[in-house]
Amino acid sequence: MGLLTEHEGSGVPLPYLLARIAGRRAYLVTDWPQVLAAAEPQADLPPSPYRLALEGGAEAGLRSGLQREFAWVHQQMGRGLQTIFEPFFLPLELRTLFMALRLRSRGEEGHTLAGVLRFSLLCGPVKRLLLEGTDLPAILAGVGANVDFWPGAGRALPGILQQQGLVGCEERLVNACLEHAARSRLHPAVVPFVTRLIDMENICALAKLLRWRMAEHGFIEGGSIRGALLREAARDLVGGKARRLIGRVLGVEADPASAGLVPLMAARLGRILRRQGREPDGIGLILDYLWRRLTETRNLSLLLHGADLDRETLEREMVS
Amino acid sequence: MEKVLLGFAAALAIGLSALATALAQSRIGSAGAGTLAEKPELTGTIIILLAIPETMVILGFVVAAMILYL
Repeated sequence: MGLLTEHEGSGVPLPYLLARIAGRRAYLVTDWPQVLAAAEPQADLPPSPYRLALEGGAEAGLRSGLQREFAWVHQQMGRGLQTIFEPFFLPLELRTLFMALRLRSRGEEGHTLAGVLRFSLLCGPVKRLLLEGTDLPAILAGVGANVDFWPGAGRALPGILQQQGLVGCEERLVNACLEHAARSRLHPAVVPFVTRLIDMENICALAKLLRWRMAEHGFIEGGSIRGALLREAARDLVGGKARRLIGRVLGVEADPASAGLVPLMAARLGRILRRQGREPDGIGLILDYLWRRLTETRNLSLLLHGADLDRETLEREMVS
Repeated sequence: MEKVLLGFAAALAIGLSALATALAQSRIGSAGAGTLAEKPELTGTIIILLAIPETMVILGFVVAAMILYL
């Protein structure tokens, strides 16, 4: 039993799926600096049948559009492909899960929650728990019982909720999920994705530790940087070791406190995935499409909310 | 005995080329169906692409006929 839904059947033939994805990929925005150079970037986006117009209140539409697209791709896949892409979908769905839990804890109405979960890939029992449950620790215990990458999550999560809140629970679940993925036998095209994703999470955690002088509470094992090196860098408050580690991940040394570190890491991962997308087996192409769709939505969201920001800031924050 | 061998050779010529055509068309067909779902304006191109591997089995048939009758 897992957190993600499992579609019955063997899925569509791979060449069919690849052709559809290649067709959809052609509509993605590729040249963000050119979009930003336009007088009205929001209005001058290249047309796409898979993208809603960016208008006021389009944030929810962007999110649900992304979820709908991912649900469509997931539905087209057979069980084998779904397993290969689990390390991609699962961390994203954990974010959806905690978004729903936050709405639940704030006492939001059911239809807001139903909107968030409408196209989610979370399995039926978990969705039902989120929609119908009232007691947060009980919901978390129920969700934990469905977690297959962390035995005992159902018992541990309510305790973590009490001590560290939802943020702590989210961090522990995402970390456990990524560590499990890194230990698992993955498709060769998915390995760099998982490794780089763990690096991104670790570098972000390191930057937070150094910026706010927080107590170190563990890095995710399985990235390209060993945990011991990260812990050593976290103890070096001057930040020299952290800069060198960032240099190893990004290819250029950067200050951990510098703005735009996440977009730089995401762009580097994007380049790796784009290169893999040219491999003939097609897995790399699907992963590249999913990642580019995700980063496009992030950039569109930035464009929507950052309409008042200057062009340089937007360009620095965008993943291109 | 010679007739049996000729028959066997003709069967191989058409059988193998038919299998190759089937394999190619199955892949081009499913990719073509996917392309048409996204871009219906490419119908003509897809039909042409789907017909190209057909030449393999036609050539196999010609070779089989030549083996048997020439």
